[in-house]
Parts: sequence; structure tokens; C-alpha cells
Amino acid sequence: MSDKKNGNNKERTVIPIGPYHPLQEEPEYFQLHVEGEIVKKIEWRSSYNHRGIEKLSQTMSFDQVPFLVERICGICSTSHPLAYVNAVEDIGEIKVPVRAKYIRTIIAELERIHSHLLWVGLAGHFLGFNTVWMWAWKYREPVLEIMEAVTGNRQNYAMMKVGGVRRDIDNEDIPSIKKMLDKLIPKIDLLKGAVMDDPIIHARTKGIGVLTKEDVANYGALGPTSRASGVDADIRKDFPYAAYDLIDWNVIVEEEGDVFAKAVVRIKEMYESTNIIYQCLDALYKSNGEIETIVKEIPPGDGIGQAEAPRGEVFHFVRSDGTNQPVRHKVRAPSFCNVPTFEVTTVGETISDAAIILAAVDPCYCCTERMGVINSSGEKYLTGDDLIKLSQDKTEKMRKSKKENK
Amino acid sequence: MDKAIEKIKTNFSDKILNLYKKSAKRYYISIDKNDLLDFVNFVFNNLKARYMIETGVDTPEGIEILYHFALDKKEIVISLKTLLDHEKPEVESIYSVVPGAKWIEREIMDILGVKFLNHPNPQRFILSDDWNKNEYPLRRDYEKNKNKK
Repeated sequence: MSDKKNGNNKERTVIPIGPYHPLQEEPEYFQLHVEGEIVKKIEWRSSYNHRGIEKLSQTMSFDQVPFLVERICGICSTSHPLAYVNAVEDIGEIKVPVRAKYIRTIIAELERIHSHLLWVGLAGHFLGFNTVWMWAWKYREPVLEIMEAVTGNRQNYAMMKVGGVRRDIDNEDIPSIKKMLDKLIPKIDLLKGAVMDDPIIHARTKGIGVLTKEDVANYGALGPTSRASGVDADIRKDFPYAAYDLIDWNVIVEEEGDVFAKAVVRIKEMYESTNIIYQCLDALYKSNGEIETIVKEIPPGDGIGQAEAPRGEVFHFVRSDGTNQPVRHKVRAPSFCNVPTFEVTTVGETISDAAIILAAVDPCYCCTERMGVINSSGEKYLTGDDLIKLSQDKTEKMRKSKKENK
Repeated sequence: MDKAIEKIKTNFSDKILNLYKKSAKRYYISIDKNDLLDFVNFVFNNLKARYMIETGVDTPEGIEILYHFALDKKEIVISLKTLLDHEKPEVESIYSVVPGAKWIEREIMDILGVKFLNHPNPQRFILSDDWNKNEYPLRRDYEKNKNKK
């Protein structure tokens, strides 16, 4: 599978990454074309685990669809239902009670914290910082406990419904939720220190996999991936839904566009999320009342729903013909727009950096189990573990050379 | 009406087949498929809209492709609608203007059988390689045709 390039003798090797790995919910396939250590080209093929959600959705009633779309993704399992209800509420111009808006916001932000913690852990693992990995996943646990206290589930919360939310948060429970959050903040501080003050992490991630503003526009990159490149875009601010226009918060933007900037954006966003949750919890005391508007029928028409998932904008397009089922339901997850940026971020980098660049956009695709390096004779084979090892070895090497220089 | 929409109106006054404001933040503009690249170029490069995605819908009148663009700071989403013939669903790829459209067009090609002209890499993207030719899962007649076999 190798080809000689015109005019230079360097052999081009094709490295297939994927398509399956039990750790990721989205099996994907990448072909890295490399010359020596340097990535020259990357190709993407998707949908190995295509479950036909869009097609299935057309066989369900408007009330059933939130449960279906919730199962698109295990990590951002509330972003899809939220975007979907936004879309249906756009068709029928349905007003949502204020209390429901606050509850929607709390759930969405709790999800963001747990998703970002999960990412920090994985990124640490790829770089060979397994302590960060263990910490991040341990401290993600309280967030899931809050989720369980509020919704009854650690995952797939089933909170969103057209016109409101399905369960109320008891005002009596608010102090205990706040207490759990109070405990979380020092842990985020700990992680922030571990990531942002470590010279080796700086060396491994600064200036690596830079995504320019121009490419953000060309590929339509979203969420922390675009905000790390200096693009001040956040659906929560730009197309306010739920209670985001009722409270005071900031969009986190970093200018550098490299892997480090993406990490910084996520870490800072966790603080912003806790800030949002505190404000919403306080607001719940003042906004007692209904948690849903009764919706009897959905009129014919088109609706577009957006929600800022931890990875970027989730987009849902729903078309109704006046029956109780959508005739078309289009779902676009943020990774669909973020993953193609690999075309520009990995090219020119080394294979050992490719792993962290691929992980930096937090795709629902991170590490790979099966990975083969096939040279002209097809003998050499690298597994996914080897790829992670390559990356970890590089960190170790840097760590050693740093010690020797001291 | 928003300034951006006014701009589109003045630039393409005779080419807009229908302009429809669904709700405060959503505009739908029906256009002919031959004018597609002009519109996309204007919305993407002049208005600096963010390309969101394309949606393909099979309707009784034909296959409809919606190109969704967001003007983030103005809080509006503009959807360009174009209708393609059932017999020969062909439309120009917008890849030359928006590089990020490459993949979704391959997806629409797979599920609805739309041919994107001048697409750089019109390979299968989401269907498996051994999927039957001329069988498109999101076409309206898919279930009917499937039962025939």
C-alpha cells in the first residue's frame, strides 16, 4: 500500500486507524498517509455503527423521539433531546415555563462538566499522565451522583420533553446539590494545576495541531474546538435557549488554536458551568410553578433546534406534516464538523502527536484498538496500544531530557 | 426584516423563488438549483455565515436539499431550499465554496441517491460497500421497493 512520490524517494506508508474500538461509541476509520514519521494526508470514513436513528425517528411519535435521540450518545445524552425539543418548539412556537428552562440548563451544564472531566482524563492518558486520568475519572463521580440525585439516573436522564421537563427539582434538595458542587470545585482546581502548570504538558501540546480561524470557518468547526482558535461562538450566547439568556456568564475563548488551548478552554468552561448551575439553583427558589406546557398537537412545518453540547453545537432539523410523527428528522452531531479539521491539523505533524491531536477535538472517537502499519511488504503491524505507547514514550523522553538539563 | 436578508433580497431579487420567515430566528429561501453556487458564495463569503449542514428530504414533489447557514451574532439561521427532480436528482457540489461540505454530501448521496456534480471524492461514506445499488434508505419508496424483492 505504499507509493513513491514523484521526485522524492521517501516512501509513503498508509496507516489505517479503526474502525472498531470498544471504548468509543462511534467506530470510525482514518487512513493516515505518512512519510517516515510525518503525516502527509488523512482520510476519514464513518458510520460503521450507523443505527439509522433518523429513519427510526420517523416511525415514532413526537413524544417518543427524545428517548431515542438520548441514546445517540452516552456522554452528551441530554444535548440531543434538548436540541430536538428546541426544534419541535420552533415548529409549534411553544413557550416553555421559566422553571423548566432553569432545570434544562442545570442538566445541560452538569453534563458539560462530566464530559469535560472525561476528556481531560483521556487526554492525560494519551500523553502518558495516567495520574491525571485516574483523578479526572474519580472526580467525575460526584457529578454523576448529582445527576442521580436530580434525575434518578447517572446516564440517559430522560428529563427533556416537548414543552418542558419531565421531573421537577425539589427546592429542599437544592442545598445538598450545592454542597456536592462545593466539593467539586477544589478538585477542578487540582486538575487545572496538574494540566496547566506542567512543563511537559506544555511541551507536548503547545503549538501542536494548530487550527486557524480560517479553517474553523471552512470546516464549520464547533464548540471548544473553534473557541480555542479565537472564534467567539457559543450557541448558548448566540441562539439563547433554555435559561442561558436569563443568567450572567461568559464565553471562554483562547487564541492559540493548538491542543493546549483546547484543554484550557475546557478546563475554564468547567468553572463557568459551575457558576451557571449555582445561579440556576438560586433562581429555582424564586420561580416556583409549572414545569411543562401541555402540547396537544404539532402543526405542520419545519423546525430547527440547536443546543451547545460539550463538544459544540448539536443541530436538529424536524419536519412535521401535522400528524403525530416527524416526516424527516435530521441530526448533526458536533463531531461531524470537528472531525474533518484533522485534514488540516494532523498534516505535517508526527504520528506520535497525531493521537493527541485526534483526541483534542474530543470526538466521540479517541483511541483505537486496531491499528496496522502496512509497509510495502505488509509485515509491520502496530496495534492501538502501540500508538498510545508511542505517544507516552515521547513524553517520557522529554521528561528525561528535561531532568538531565537541570 | 434583518439587514442580511435585505442584502440577499437586493442582490438576488429575481432569483428568489420564495422567502419565508418561519419564526423570529429562522428564514427559508427557495432557490433554483442552477443559482445555488451564487447564493452559497454570497451567504458564506459576503455575509460570513457559518455553514451548519445540509439536510436532504424526499418529498412528493422531489428531493429537497436544505443548506443551513447560521449568522451567529445576528441570531438567525438561513436555510436555502432547492428542489431536485426525482428522475435525475443532480445538483452542483458546494465543496468549491465550503470545503467542509464534502462529507455531508457523500452522506446525502448514500441515503437519498443525489448526485453531487464536481464532488472531489464521491465515494460511499455511511453505507457499507456491499449495500445494493440504487437502494436508498431515506427515499419515500424504500420500504415499498424493499418488500417487492
